[in-house]
Amino acid sequence: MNLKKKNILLTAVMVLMAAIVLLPFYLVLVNSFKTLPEIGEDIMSIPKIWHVENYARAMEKMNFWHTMMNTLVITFIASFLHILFATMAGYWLIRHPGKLNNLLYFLLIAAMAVPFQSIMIPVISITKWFHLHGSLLGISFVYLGMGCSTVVFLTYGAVKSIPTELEEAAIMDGCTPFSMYFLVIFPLLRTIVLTYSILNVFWFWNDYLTPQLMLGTKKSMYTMQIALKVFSGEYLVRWDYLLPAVVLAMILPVAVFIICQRSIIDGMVSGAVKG
Amino acid sequence: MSTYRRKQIMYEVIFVAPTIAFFTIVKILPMLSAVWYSLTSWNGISAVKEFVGFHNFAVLAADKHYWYSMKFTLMFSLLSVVFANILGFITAYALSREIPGRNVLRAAFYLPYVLGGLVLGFVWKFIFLKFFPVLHQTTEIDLFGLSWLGTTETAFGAMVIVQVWSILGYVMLLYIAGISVIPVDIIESARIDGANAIQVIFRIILPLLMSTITRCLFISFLTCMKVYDVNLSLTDGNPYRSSESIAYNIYKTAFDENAMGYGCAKSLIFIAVILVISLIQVSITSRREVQA
Repeated sequence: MNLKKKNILLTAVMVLMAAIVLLPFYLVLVNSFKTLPEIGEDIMSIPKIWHVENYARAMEKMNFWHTMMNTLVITFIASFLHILFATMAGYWLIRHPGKLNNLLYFLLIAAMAVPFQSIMIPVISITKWFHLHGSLLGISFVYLGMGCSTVVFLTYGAVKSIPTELEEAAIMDGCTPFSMYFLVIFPLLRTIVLTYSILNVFWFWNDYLTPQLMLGTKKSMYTMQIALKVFSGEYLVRWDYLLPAVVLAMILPVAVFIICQRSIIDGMVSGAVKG
Repeated sequence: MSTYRRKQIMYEVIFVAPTIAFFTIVKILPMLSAVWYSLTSWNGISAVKEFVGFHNFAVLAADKHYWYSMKFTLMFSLLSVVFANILGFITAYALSREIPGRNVLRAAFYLPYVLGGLVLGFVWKFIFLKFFPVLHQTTEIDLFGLSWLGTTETAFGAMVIVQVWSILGYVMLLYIAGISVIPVDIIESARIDGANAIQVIFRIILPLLMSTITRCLFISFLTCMKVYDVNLSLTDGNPYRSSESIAYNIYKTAFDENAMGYGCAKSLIFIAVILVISLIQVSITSRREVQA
C-alpha cells in the first residue's frame, strides 16, 4: 500500500471517529426543535416542522436574557482581572526572584494540584467573611484567586523568552517598572494572554459549582449553568423542554470555539510545548 | 531604608498584592481552615466550632458510602485516563500527518472539551435514554439495549464513556504538541534502517513522548478525580447512591447534611489520595523520559 492510499484510509477512519464524537450534538440540536411525540417517532431525522416555540418557552423559563447578562458580566470581569492582575504578578515574581517571591511562586504552582472540590467548604465560610458572596463582582474576584496559578504558570514561559536587555534599556530610558511593564512587556505577552483568556472564558461560562456556592439561590443571580440545572429539575422527562435549554447553555462556548478555533488549537499546541 | 529599597517594595505590592490577596483568601486560608475544621464538629451554622480531635477521622474510617465513592472515583479515573490517553494518542498520531481536513478534524475532537460537565451530562442522558433504545431496535446489538443509567455497572460505564468523550480532544492536543517537536529525521532514519510503522511508534515515538505522557496522565487523572458536574446531571448518584463521585459525596455531606467538620475530614483524605497517586505516577513515568 502506498502512502497516498494509506492516508486516504486514515482520513476515512478519522472522519468516522469524528462523526461519532459529533453525533450527540447533532441529535440534541435536531431534536430540540421537535415535539415530544416527534422525538419518539423519529430521532434521527431533521424536523419536518421547526418548532421554534420550544426555544421561546425555554428562554422564558430560564429568564434567558437576564441569565445571559449575569454570565457575561462574570465572564468579562473575571477575564479582565486575570489579564490585569495575574499576568502582572506572574511577570514580577519571575523577574524578581528572592526568598519571598520564590515562596509565593512555589505556593501558586503547588496549589494547582489541590482541586476546588476539596476546599469548597472553608472557601464558602471564608469568602462569606470577606463579603464576596451574592455578587457578580465578588465571584469574579474569587475566580481570580482560583485561576491565578495557571496564568502565572503560563506567563512564566513567555516572560523567560523575553531578553532582559529590553527591560534594562527601558529603565535606562527613564521608564518606571510600571510603565515599562505596560508599554514594553505586556504587548509581548499577547499570545499567551489570548490563549489563557479563551480558556478562561470557557471555564467561567461552563462552571456550575462555584456560582452555585457563591451566588445563593436568588433567581436574579442565576448564571446559565444554574438556570439549566434548576430548569432540568422541573422538567426532567420533558425532552422537548430540556433540549432547547441545553442548546442555549452551550451556544456561547460553541460560537467562541468556532470563531477562534485556529488560535485556540495552535495556542494550546505551542503553549504545551513551551510550558 | 533607602529610597530605592522603598520604591522596590512599593512596586512589589502594586504588582503582586492584588493577586496574592485573593489567592490567599480562596486557596491558602481555606487549606489551613480545612485542617482546623476537620478537627471540629462544626455544622456550618453555629458560631462555636467544638474541638473533637480525630473523632471525624475515626468515623470516616468506617463510612461505607465514602469508601465506596472513593473506590468508584478511583476506578472511574483509572479507566477514563487509560482510554482517553490511548484514543488521544491514536488520534494525535493520525492527525499529525498531512491528511486532508486535518484542522477541521482536530477541532471536531476538541469540541466537547469546551463545554461544561453539566451540559455534557444532559446531552448524554438524552443519548442513553432516547437514542440507544432506537439503535438497539435497528441494529439489534445488545450493548445498546442495556439499561445504561439503571444499574450500578452500566451507570459506571456511562460515566466513563462521557468522561473519555469530553477529555479526549484535550489529551489529543497535548500529544499533537509532543509529537510536533520530535525531529523528523530520527523517524526517517529509522524507516531507512527498515523499521515498520509499529516499531517506529513503540521504539521511537513513545519513548520520546515520555514527558508528554507524564503530563497527560497527571492532568487527566486530576480532571477525572474531581468529577462533579457530569455526575450530577448524568446519574445524580443513582441507582441507590452507587454512582457517587467523591466530590459529590463531600458536597452532600457538607451542604445537605450540614456536617462541615466531617466534610473537611473527607476532603483532606481526598487531597492526600490525589497527591500520593500523582506523585507515584509522575515519578514512575518521568524516570523513563529520554532525550532525542
